[in-house]
Amino acid sequence: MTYIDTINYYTNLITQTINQSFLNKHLDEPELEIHKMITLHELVQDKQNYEELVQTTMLVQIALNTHDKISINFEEENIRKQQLTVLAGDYYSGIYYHLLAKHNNLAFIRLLADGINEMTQAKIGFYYSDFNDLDNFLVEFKEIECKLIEKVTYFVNKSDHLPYVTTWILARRLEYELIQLRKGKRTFFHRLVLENVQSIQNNEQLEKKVRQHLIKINRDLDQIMTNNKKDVVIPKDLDLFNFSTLTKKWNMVLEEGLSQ
Amino acid sequence: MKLAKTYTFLKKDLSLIEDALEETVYADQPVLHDASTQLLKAGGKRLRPVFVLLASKFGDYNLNRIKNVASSLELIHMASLVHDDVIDDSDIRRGKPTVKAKWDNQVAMLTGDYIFAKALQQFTEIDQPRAHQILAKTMMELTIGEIEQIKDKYNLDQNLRVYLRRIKRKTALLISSSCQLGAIVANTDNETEKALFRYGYFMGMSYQIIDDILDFTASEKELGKPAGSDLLQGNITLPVLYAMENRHIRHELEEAFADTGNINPNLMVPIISKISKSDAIAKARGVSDQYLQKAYDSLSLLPDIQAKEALANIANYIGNRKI
Repeated sequence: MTYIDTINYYTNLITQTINQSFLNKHLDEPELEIHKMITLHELVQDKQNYEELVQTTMLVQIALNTHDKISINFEEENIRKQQLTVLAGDYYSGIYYHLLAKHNNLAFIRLLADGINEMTQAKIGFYYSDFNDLDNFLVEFKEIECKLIEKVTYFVNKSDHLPYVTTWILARRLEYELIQLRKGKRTFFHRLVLENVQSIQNNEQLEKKVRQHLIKINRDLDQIMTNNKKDVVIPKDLDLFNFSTLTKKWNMVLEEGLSQ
Repeated sequence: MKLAKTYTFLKKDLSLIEDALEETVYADQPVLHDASTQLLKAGGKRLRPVFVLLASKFGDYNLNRIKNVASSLELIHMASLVHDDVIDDSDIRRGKPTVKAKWDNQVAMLTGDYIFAKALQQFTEIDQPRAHQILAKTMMELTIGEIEQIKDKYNLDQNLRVYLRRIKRKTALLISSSCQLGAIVANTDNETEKALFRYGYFMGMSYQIIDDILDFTASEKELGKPAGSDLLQGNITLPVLYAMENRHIRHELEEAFADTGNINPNLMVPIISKISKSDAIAKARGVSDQYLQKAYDSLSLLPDIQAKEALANIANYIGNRKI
């Protein structure tokens, strides 16, 4: 399968699985992080039930991302949408469990539950922490961003790939954030940085810092590629944004998140 | 009679489950730990664990295994309550501030997800695939029930069947699953499992109907919220469905709900009062009684052991509860 085939295949699979008429009517389509989808597929494709592993991990990711959209306090004008967002996240979690229970995959149910558990613990500390600079912020952000994939990577005994994979995921995410910033769109990530990183006060500082970090991260990726060629499961310069435009249906990452 | 008196012989086992609940929700992260234990400390009837324990008494009663099922079900119930309080914007639950009130919506969302994950981690100790399939299906239905509730808000054209299907999903299935999973984990025979499932289902239906009646008949002090709160939020429950058979009440409700974005509570107070004094309450109670009778009938198929008497007493208590 080409990368675009992979994206389309899982996109359709997940869309069909989470189809719920009332949620479809009132909520935007859930965002699917295609960089994580491709990574997961590359990591598990040699396993017998690889589709199930990718599908259910993505469902958990979607569920948690959906819950991240809930604002600190409900806004009066859009209560129904916010109420349904809570339930949509619960619904996607329920589907993950339902699919794996149907195939008696208790080990993977437990693995993803461990992932949710660790991720919520990490998130709650992270959201309410102050950071001196973006470096410190990104260390914790990367951990949260890659938590589920890290769990799956251990599950399929491919932990050697983690340094490359997690750095690649962070690079894609930062590229995306830069694009959104240039478009003038405020994302969950931007809001978190501006609220929690003391040294960054405005969009210009944010763009400059993210750009600097991307250069550094790309250097790190080159280093890993030089030292361990076999760990490169996905091409470094894969143009995901082109895919995202092609598939159109999906945004790559969360567009909304914690409100003021 | 107090509810707990109906199963005093479970006291020691319930206390172990209480310890297990506390142990399970432990989190290294202080905010998450405090938020997770907030609802736990507020107490509660622990009905689901009680049903698991009592159902297990009809088979091989292995407390170590049963404990996992009982505490997992209570945790799933708790996780859904934490998220429900965000949905309903509730500040008080069981007389204590809700997680969303004490912290905020974001903490409540993460806490609910955390408790849910803990429940699943614990439940995976049970290696019976059918138990997982039942629980997974129940959880899906529970959420669909909540979605349906939002869908049906302020809809005066819904019928009895829609209401019953909604409360089945929202309440009855988790109670019937508690009974069924208790039976499965104790390896009872199929007939016993089926009878216990049916008992739980009928009990759950009756429980929710009584809850919906009490929303009109209990005092604000007893409820911890104003009487008629469900209707104020647009939830059309069984007493309302029956009350709307009176065309005056229906007309008043239609007027009050004309602009759902701007309901005037002052307009609602006399309607709520009329419903609470109408024969709709007795009619709704009649439906609850029918479910209770079916619950008793299901028990008649079970052997005469102490747990059976306790299940009957619980049914009696639920049917007559004042709050």
